[in-house]
Amino acid sequence: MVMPLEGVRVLDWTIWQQGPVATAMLGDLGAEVIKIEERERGDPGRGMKRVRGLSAEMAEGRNFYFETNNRNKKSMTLDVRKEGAREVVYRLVEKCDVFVQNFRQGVAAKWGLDYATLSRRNPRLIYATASGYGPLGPDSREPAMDYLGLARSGIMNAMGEPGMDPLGVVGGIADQMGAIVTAYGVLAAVVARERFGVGQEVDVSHLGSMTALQALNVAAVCLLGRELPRQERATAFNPLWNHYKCGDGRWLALAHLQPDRYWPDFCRALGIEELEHDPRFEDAQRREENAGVLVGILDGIFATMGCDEWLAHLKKTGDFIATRVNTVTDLVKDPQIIENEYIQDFDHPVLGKIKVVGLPVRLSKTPGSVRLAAPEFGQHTEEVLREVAGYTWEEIEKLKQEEVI
Amino acid sequence: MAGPLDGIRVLEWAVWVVGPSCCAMLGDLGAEIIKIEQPVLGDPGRGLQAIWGLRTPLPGGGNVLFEGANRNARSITIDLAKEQGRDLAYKLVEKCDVFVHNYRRQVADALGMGYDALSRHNPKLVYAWASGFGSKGPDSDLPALDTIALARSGMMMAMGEPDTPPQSAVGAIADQTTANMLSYGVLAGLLARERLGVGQEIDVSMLGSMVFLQSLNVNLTSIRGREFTRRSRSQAGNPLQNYYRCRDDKWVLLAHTQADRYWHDFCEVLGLQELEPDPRFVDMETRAKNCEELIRILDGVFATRSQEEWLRLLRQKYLFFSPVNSMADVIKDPQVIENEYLQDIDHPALGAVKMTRLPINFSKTPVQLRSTAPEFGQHTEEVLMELAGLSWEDIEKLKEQEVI
Repeated sequence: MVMPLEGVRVLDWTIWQQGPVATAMLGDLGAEVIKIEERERGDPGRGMKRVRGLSAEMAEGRNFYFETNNRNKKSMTLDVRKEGAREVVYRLVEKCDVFVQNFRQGVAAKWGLDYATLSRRNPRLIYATASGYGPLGPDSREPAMDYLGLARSGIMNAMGEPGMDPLGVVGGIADQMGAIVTAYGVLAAVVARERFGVGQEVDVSHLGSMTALQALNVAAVCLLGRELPRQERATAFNPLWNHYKCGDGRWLALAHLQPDRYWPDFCRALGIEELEHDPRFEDAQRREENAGVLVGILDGIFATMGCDEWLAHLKKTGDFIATRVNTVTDLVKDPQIIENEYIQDFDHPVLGKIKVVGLPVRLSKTPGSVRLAAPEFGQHTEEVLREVAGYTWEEIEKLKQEEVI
Repeated sequence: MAGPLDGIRVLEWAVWVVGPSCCAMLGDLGAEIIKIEQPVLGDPGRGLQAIWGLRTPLPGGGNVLFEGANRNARSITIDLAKEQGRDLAYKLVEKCDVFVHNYRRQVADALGMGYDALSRHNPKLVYAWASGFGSKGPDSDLPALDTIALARSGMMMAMGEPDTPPQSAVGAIADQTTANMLSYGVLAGLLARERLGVGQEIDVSMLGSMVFLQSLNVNLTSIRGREFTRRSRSQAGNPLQNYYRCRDDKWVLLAHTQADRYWHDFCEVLGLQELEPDPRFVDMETRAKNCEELIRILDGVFATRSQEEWLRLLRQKYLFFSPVNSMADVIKDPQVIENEYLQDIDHPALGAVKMTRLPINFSKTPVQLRSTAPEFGQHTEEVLMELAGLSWEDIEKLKEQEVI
């Protein structure tokens, strides 16, 4: 069967991660995505040589950062600063359903690629903007990067233990979350267009996406007037909601939000039946008061067996809520990941058989798919101009001579 | 104009955060949300006493966790363990476009709420559910909560500094990420229905959602066979992509990925012009080699002014910077306020409060938080009379039988 967005065409004028991942997600659902790249250097994500001290480069000039963010797309080059470029975009926009961009506020208008201009050529166009800080407010024109999204949203103070300096997290998490929310906004707008016939502007930002991600942290401050405190492992207020180091050096996480329900079984499973009715630990309140002591006891017990042994034992002895603390290397071998194809095999034209992140959403009748590797720079310029916008070879030659494409 | 999902009706049978929060987002988009709760106990999110050591009950009987995840919903009680209860649910399914749950598959099947059962009553139903670990695999039957997904997905090993134990994060961010993906799945399902006329089953998991959130980490390992090292502040390879403590103990973060482009302006703003041509720091490579030295210098410089002063100076040169906010800073942040990432709402029990809503602005079909979380079973009679065609008499009888 076809995919949910089959027949929907997306013009993608984005760079780095937040915008590109959003359009890759639309591609996963079947949309045709045409990526416009700056004609000399392309998306700067192509030039990413090092990420966090690691070389990002691979065979034939490919780099894993660009590959990750640009699957399921075609690439065409364009120098948007040239007069002739605008007409190229306008002719494409007439044939597209969605336009996505993530440039700093003001850049699109400067090159005539703002919503007011493009919607005149296609009133049903869905025009999505992904920014750092949103379209309004004193910082709406500031540049954005993943790291800034982490800092500004408060999440650096939500990770780690009390008293620690703010902590970072690797992996472009704010970019990725902004991308998910952008793709979500586009889907909602496509639904609105199907149902009500309207095209419109959709605005998303790092700040908004990361704030919504922390809805519970926000609610604690807004409704209780207090911040959720970072948790110290050694004195975790609920020792059954904590992580422990096992005998093999690996860590195991427990997440019993209603610990009283599990306490008797838990004591039996760990062979600490004598603690079940110990007045220091007999209910959630007591265990919180004596958390330091109990975590110390549990640290000692978990150190007696390896992590996988503990998990097998817990699975056998009760309906516990537990798992191992994976590294990413564990993840790519995790049978749960493999069977659900959260990481899937992919035959890459240059890199050969590789594994890539799959789709986190499985649709039973109209599933999405990873079909195309990230395109080579400008690989589809002629194809797109001819097939989508109806340019002749002569016109294309002229655009090349004028260094528009 | 109304929201994109105006006229779409969602039947929610969900607890805690993932399912409810997914529906809250659909509600922000204009959908009507009917939440089925178990009579007597209701969603356990209502009764949560504490999370991460913070007491969560609110004045008037509400709960912090429940309020945020259940905005826009109407609440009805139905006992699905009783046959009459299931029949009521089927009647509602006939009148709904979407069904959302976050129980394990075996639980849904046992109560007659599996896809096969419900699609018989409404073949065009968009049936979306979230599990901890996915619909397949050896752990598909295991329960999961937020921190379990942080652990299993590798996220605990992505946070914090190298060679420290795994770190956690407060705020249910794995739950919320999964809610986002589940809600995304519903939109894709609705679109497929509008365009192709099919109803279907859509499944999402906490593990899959967190893997996708960390695509970059995962692909580095799966394609290159290497892991990102967690970042160390004192040895950040690119000191212009790092954070520094100011005189007032607040922090400023810099994010110059292409640091060479900004080195000149950066030195000028910090009054470090003498360092610009210094051979130890002249480009990204030398700065990486001598990063500890440079970070020590920058630590000293940032300690001389307050955060506010630094932000003002950095802004003048359009550098990439941000305050490292606390959550208390976030809710006062003018960017958050002006873009309405928080919405003012008059809460029946709490008065005027601010709450998060879907952080997307649509120019023609705007989204909004329409109502606060319902009281337990507040809309049972209303919904059953409107949608299932029940009379007061029927309702009385169902109450006596403890079905509702």
